[in-house]
Amino acid sequence: MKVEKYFFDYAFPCTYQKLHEQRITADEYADLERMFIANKSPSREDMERVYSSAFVFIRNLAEQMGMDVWDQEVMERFWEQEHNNIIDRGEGIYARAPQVLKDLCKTRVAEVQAITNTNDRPMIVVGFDSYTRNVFNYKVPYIKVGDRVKIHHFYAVRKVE
Amino acid sequence: MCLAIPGKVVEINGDEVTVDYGSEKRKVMKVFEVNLGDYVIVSNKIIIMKVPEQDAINAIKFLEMKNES
Repeated sequence: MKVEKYFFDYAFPCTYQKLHEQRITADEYADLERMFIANKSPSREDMERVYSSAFVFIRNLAEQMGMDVWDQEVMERFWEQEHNNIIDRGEGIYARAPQVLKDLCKTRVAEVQAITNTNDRPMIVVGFDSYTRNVFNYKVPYIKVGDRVKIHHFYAVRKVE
Repeated sequence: MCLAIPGKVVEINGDEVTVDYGSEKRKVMKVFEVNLGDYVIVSNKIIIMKVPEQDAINAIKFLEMKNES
């Protein structure tokens, strides 16, 4: 998988909040969503602009690792480890954020409990710890009940083997 | 990074729900039962989850402070 798409698959779930905060326009959101659903990704420049707060941390991480920001290893380290560590450490906007919001932001492994397509959107119900969450499922359409998926916010990102 | 924004359910008409965010109200769809006064988080115009009232109020206050700073 191209590194741009890898990043975008994880980052897009945050995009609705950026629309809500009016940091992007409705047209920009619609373009990004079309690309996400079509398994495409925007340009690196556009992603660095839209997800600028994430790239503050990614640049720091890349520097620590002595690698390019868009190196696959850097992106995997960020989304698989550093992203949740940043939230747990309360860095940046997470310093004073309530726990309920921080918990939503974390990437998690969850088990598919039901497949429910709603309002023409592919959705599944997943469970982790003692929680259940409805998430959109554009990325793993072949998923079955009992499978495990990585989720971010309200989206399934990939299947966990 | 990303923080979701809770809103309050102020009207229910079948599957269509009006959610109040303070500065604006939005019409969204529900995929499970919600009641008037519930605090919810919406994505793509669909209610994804309920949030306990006190957690939601804390979150809204925090997000208002963040936007003002």
